[in-house]
Amino acid sequence: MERSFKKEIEALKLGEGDIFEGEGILAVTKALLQSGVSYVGGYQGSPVSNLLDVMVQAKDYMNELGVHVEACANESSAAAMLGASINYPVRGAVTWKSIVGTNVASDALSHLASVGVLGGSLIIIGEDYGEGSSIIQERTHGVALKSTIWLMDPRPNLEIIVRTVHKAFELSEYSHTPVMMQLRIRTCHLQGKFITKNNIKPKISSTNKVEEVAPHNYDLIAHPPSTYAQEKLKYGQRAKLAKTFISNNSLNEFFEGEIKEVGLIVQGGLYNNLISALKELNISDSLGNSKISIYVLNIVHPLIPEEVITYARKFKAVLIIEEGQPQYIEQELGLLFHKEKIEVSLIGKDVLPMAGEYTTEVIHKGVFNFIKQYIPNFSSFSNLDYNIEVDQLREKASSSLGEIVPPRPPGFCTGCPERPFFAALKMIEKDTGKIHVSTDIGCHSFATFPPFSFGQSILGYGMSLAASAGVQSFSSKRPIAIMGDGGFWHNGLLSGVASRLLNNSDGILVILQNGYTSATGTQDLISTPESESRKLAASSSSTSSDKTIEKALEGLGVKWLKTVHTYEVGSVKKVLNEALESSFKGLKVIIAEGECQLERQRRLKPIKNNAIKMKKRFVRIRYGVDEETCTGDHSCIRLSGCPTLTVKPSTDPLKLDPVAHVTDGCVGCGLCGENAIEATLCPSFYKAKIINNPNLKERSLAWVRNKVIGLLS
Amino acid sequence: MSDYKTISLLITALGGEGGGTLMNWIIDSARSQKLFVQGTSVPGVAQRTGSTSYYIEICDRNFHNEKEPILSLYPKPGRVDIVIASELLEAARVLEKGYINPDRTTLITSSSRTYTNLEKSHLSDGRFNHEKIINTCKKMSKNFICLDLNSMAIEHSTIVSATMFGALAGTGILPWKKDIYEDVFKDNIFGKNSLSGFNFAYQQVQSISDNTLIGKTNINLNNDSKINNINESLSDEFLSIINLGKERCTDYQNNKYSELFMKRVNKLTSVIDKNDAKIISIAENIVRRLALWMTYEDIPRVAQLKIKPDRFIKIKNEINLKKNQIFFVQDIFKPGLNEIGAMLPNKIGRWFIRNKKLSTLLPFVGKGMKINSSKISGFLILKTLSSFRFIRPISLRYKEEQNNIDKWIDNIIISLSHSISFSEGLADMPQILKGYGDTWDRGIKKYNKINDALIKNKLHSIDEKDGAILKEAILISMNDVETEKLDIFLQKNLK
Repeated sequence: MERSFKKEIEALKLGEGDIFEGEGILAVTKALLQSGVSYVGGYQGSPVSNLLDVMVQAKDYMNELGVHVEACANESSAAAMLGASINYPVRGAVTWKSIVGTNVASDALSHLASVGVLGGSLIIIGEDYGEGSSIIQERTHGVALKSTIWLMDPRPNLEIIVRTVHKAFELSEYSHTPVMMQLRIRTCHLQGKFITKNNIKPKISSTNKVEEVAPHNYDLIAHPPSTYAQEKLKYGQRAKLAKTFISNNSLNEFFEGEIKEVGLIVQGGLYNNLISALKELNISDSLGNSKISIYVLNIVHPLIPEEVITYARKFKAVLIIEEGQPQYIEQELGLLFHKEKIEVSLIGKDVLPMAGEYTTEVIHKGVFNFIKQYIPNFSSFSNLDYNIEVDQLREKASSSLGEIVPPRPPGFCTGCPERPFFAALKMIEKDTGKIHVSTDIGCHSFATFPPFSFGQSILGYGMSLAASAGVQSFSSKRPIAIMGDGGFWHNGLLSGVASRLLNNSDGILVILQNGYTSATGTQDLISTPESESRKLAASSSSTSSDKTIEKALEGLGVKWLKTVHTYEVGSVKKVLNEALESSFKGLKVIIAEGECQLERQRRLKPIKNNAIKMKKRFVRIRYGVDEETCTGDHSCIRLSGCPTLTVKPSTDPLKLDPVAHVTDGCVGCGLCGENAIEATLCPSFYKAKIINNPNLKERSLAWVRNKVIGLLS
Repeated sequence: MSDYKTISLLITALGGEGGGTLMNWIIDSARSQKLFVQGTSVPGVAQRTGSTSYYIEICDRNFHNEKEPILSLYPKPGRVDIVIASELLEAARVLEKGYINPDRTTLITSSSRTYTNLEKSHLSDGRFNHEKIINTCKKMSKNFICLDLNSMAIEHSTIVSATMFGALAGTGILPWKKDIYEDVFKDNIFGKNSLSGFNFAYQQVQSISDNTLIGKTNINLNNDSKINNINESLSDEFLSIINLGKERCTDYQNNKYSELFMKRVNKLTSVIDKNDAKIISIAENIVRRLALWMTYEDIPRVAQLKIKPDRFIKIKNEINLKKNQIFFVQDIFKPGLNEIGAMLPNKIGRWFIRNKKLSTLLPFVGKGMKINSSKISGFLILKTLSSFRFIRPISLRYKEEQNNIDKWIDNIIISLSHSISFSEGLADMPQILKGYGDTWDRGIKKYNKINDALIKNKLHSIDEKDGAILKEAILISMNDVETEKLDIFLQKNLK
């Protein structure tokens, strides 16, 4: 990865009483060091990528502290890392994007939770839920419940989050249970501040190693008969200890209000949204001084029955504000009230939506409907008109705009090496008819959006080939499975390739090798080109220098294997056709390589700046469209979707339709030219080679050419 | 209940544009003023060119050793003080969501457009109505500032965040002075450029008196020369369109060809009511499309356009060529069998297309060709190709096109006496014929389908309803590359 985290690394070194100002996820990173972690692992994914990225880059400082940092191959290997804390009194933390990462990790998590831990074990979950999410919408809560892992959901405030990290380790050690801390997207990206403490060098660490191996203790092995005893421990002793710790340390918070009739219970992560909603209702001020009592669950599992009962007893009705479904907390409270015969109306999803993100506006509506029902004189102090006002604003804006604003989903970057592959596939479909395409997770998922609109299914990260196994069996035309190199190493190699080989079955797998896990921030893979090769390649693609994927596939026994450079659209078409028509009945793998353009551009920047500064020769390629020959059909755009290939009003008064246009952001990847040839588009495209500081020969030749051409025309 | 105020600020931008940078600059400035501030965002994968948003709340004071306010992580509809958009459609998106309140919100937006894939993929013009966004912005905001922040950024070799930041500073809404804004550029390696972009946008906003400034592009119609043979009662605008068409035909072929153009125009103008504005606007459209159709782009035309001296000047401007730079242009062609046959004399052309094997002898047929137009050899190739225009009148395609054009004009003249609406549709028919190669073939297919189903042999019994059907058919064929929907529609409305 070429991105630099220099500034962030400095923030990790702050000491006692300093002020940290920055992003939520970095505050968590700092809190880990303040807690004396021995090891950290994880798998990248928004919104928690930065935690690991910064630590990986801060290698020297981590070595100094003795903290081991591991960029794991997937979440499963990250979760299994926590096994170190089963036998040794060491603190460890791992991180990933949830729910997907938690799903991948769940086998190791179940085993870890069953045995329990000696050293504090913390799992930092980027709860990718709601607006901006890139994954299926599920709660991590269910996993915490079924595996008996404690789940913290702190208020979105850096001070509180950092305190929660410290407490999470203590809780984990006190109750011998791993702890999860879930942070929503906006919380991970929250810019705030907190007062730092000194980092603690772990007692057992990479610089301070243990001499003695932990004794063999069958109780600590997740294998029968120990597992029966472990299950009893989970629900018995460990749960009891956890509840004691949470209650003694007042991890949940009570804010008492003057209104007697009702109370609110809220997940910590939603607290700010709630206060913002209450402000709109004139029920709270910005300092959180609320007229209605609020019980904030900074720990959503386990709940503390005594706390809940004491709180609920005071009111006629309580509203539980719990995001997502199923409504686990509401169910647990309902059962508790029923068993304990508490006379209180429990309201939850009755007034709040079952699914979707609980924004300020959503919570406002829910609370409004709740108090309307239970507080007789609510209109004397509350603002009743907000919802109507908002509806009117939207109505007015929409009718004035006249049509619905078209969506703008994410797409391939300018010059992305994956775009040409999909252009080739689109061209092929013109001849073959529609092909069943199993897609995967990664940047190439953007091909599911216009203008490509490819894909019949997505079944998970690295799952595309496995997902096409059944389809293959009953399809007369061969389906294609597409995955990135990220997905291939994360899961695809085993779930897909090995499985297909085991069964000797037919299939086509396309691996888009761009060299990194690009969608999550271009983290390195085992097949990332060596830094020396990247340096040599300068700003051109360097992925062809790495053969790790080819070697792995050959080693497994893949017989039909072809590598093609994605920007050569004609070659991609040819090799795809070969795979579709081949008489070979086994697995056919096409590696379509082309390096992530983001990384190439990051390398290009200093080279270019240096050339300009030193007045050295420097060549830039960009494409353009001749307006005169463009007829405004835009079929070039429908084969590309490149951000720099766009439209502009025609300057020809006879032409009313906008014409195609290449903006100056063009990086000269060459796809426009390839498409023009391969799809027989139109002769409007030109390639301009711009030479900065040309040498004398070039200068004189250009002069002669200009003169001659001037005379000829 | 509280003794302080907050300012809420929503930034909307496209992934990769630096919206996060702008958010951090604003937060840094507030922090430097010891103001309590919070910001957050949801970039995620949207950082790859999708629409993203960033939200900031700034308090007008600090909270040292006292309870800090609980700030929101979400903008609240109708409760946002400042909205800054890097692109006009994104401003519309914010409007649609109800964040902009006429009693409260200052809206700063770039007037520039980055078209969405849906808009730019359209077969003719799928762009969202620009004027409607501007009008809605004006109507729905308390203060509205609209500048081309994107072009400003390009001019100053910086990112749009810098000009957005400058425009924000220019409004003077935030409680700190200009030099505090400028401080964020101090430690930045690109600081100098950013600062100059910032200053430019700042001054632009400061100098706006009625707080709206919208760049408009004017299309200047060539109005110079007088046109003969044309009824003097036509408007100047119409005349200039006719004149342009005439000139284009001369350039395309010769004076004789432009006379043919004028003959067709006269045929049309002699039967229309020149006082009927509706009819005139249809006629203008017909003349426009007639000129484009008559100058259809075959190989000689493309070659001719590619070596025009002013083309290289245009490219120089487009690539913004600087003093210490030289440039070369390479053109990309893929002449197909049909296209080569089309430019050959009628009978030879037919023979050529029939004998597919022949093409294997010519290495460039159906292959990609890259011609270096700015080198002498490439220039000469194009020059030779362009000279094929002298035999164009006896070429295969010429005959076909002229027949179709005459048929189209004749149809319009018949239609004009039956239905205005149908004539309007007919005038737009050539819109379907676009591009080259596959694109052209697809267009012809659609054209013929509509022609057969709705026009051919039906002109004497048409009414206004048929006009609506014809227009709908054209719209469907422009909305979708495939012909499936068009087929279904035509089947249903077959006369």
